[in-house]
Amino acid sequence: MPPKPIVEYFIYALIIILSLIVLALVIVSPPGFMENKSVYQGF
Amino acid sequence: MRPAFGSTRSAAAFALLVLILLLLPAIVGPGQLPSREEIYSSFWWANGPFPYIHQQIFKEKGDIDIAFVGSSHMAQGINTPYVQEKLGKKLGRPAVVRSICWGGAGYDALYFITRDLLQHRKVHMLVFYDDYNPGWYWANSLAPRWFRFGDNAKALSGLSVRFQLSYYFAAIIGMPRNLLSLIRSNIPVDLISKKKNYLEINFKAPNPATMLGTSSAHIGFGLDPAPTSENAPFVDFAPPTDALSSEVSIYSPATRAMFQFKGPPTPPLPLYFARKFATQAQENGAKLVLLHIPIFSERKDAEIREREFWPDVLRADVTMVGIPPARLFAGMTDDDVRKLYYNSAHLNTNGQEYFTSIITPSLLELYAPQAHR
Repeated sequence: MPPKPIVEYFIYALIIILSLIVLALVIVSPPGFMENKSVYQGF
Repeated sequence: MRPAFGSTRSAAAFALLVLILLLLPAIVGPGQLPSREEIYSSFWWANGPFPYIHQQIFKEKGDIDIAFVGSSHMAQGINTPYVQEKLGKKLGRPAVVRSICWGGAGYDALYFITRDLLQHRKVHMLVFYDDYNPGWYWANSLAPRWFRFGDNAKALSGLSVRFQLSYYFAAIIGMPRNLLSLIRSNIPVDLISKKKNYLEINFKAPNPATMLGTSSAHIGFGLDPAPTSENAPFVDFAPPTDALSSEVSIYSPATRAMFQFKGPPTPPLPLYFARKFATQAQENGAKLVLLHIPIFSERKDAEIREREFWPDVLRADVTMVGIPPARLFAGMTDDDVRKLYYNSAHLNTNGQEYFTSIITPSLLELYAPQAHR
């Protein structure tokens, strides 16, 4: 039996909200977080 | 167009996965995280001499007389074996002097790494300097390694939400590595091996593990932060140091004219962690010495240019020491001064040996009261 549309809407809304949270976290963080190296001082 | 998810169930599973990843730092408490030793044994040499820092914090025991702590600016500025030798002679016993330095400036790194150091070793005098910092409006780029929400969340309590989020994100990124360390331990890097490490190769210098944590750069001046083929060839240059040690100023009302405090004010993030660093040092009985290490652009300054009057700003008993750059480089041309640096912010081997020999008598003088405690 297919899920009710309201559940579907809720799940996609949750995905959008979580994606926005991830985006916000990336925006408030320095680029070096995603790299396995020191980016500023040359070592 | 194909839908992003094949079914509502797979969309729900994806949402659940993202939700768990986002919540993991808050869910995994300090008792469930691996030892902090695992953090340090996961670094490689390119982040700085972390294998040596790991050994110093978690393996070697005993008091440290003087620890130089901070980023590469400090690591490249001080010849630690020289200071240790001079202190040992003065004390009449073997002295213990160490450089606990890494790559990437920031008072946040200074606070968290020194915190680990002070929890394992008694340090009598901490010498620090981290004011030259092009990236300090951000969290340190290595925060995903040493910041763990389970251990360190309380340390963020006075920060703005924006910065708290930034460190929380760091904890999210670092979480898979921590969970992996729960399954198996890291194999620490060999401190000394036949295969040269990143610092030996790129800086053409001795292994920092053989130099008490000191990193030196046996290369000439270049424009990039990291050494490249564009750096000038290294030229041995040892200016006379003669009476220059007497030109070093330890801040006091009598030497006030040698210092200049003209801002700009320290931004909120580094200021917050600088204060926490100073507080924890005092709580652990470590004397605090702020050592001004000049950068190339300061070479003609007649005074020691500090952003702040640090004892007031840090609300701590901080002794400031330095030498006016115009005196340090007196009689030298710009080309001569370049022979002492490998880039605009870092001394090379020439500069390190020159600066250390001049500044050491004042550091030993500052240490003297600690020796009797």
